[in-house]
Amino acid sequence: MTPAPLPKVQRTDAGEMTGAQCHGSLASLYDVAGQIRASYIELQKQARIALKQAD
Amino acid sequence: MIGLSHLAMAGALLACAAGIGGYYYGVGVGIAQEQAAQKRADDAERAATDKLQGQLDASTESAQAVELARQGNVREIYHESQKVVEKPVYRTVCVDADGVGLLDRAAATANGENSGVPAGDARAAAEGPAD
Repeated sequence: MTPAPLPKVQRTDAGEMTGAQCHGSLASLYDVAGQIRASYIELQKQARIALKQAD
Repeated sequence: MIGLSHLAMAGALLACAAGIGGYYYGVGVGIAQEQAAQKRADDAERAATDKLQGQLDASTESAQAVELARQGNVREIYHESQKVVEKPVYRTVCVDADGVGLLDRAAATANGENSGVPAGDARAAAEGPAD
């Protein structure tokens, strides 16, 4: 499974960011980072199980 | 009349037949033993594979429960942030177009775009945790 790509930040039509958009973008980034971190931890765990079994 | 030579011949034939029979019996026993050993090895390998798959399935199940809890927390944060950003201070522009352009480049770099690293599916600007 391909990891979720990081989202682009929100912006106004003029291409700027307000504080609200900045806040929302950071929250979304933390969400995706959390998904990737959780997947990575689970992958490490399953790799350890498989390696232990192979020994 | 049956002479001594006939008896000797019959004995030799019997001995040959017994030898051949013994040979085939031994081959049969050897094959059975080999098949039994192979079956034991196959069974042991299957048991080990099943055990490993069980452990991996249990781990996946536990990870899914953790992920569900994480998504619940993210949704809660999203709803609360909708109230927080209603304050006037959040209407102020905090990043100009150049800064946003740089952040786009940072996102593209992090996603491995134009660098030979698989980027996954394209993703538009984030609107919330459901994105």
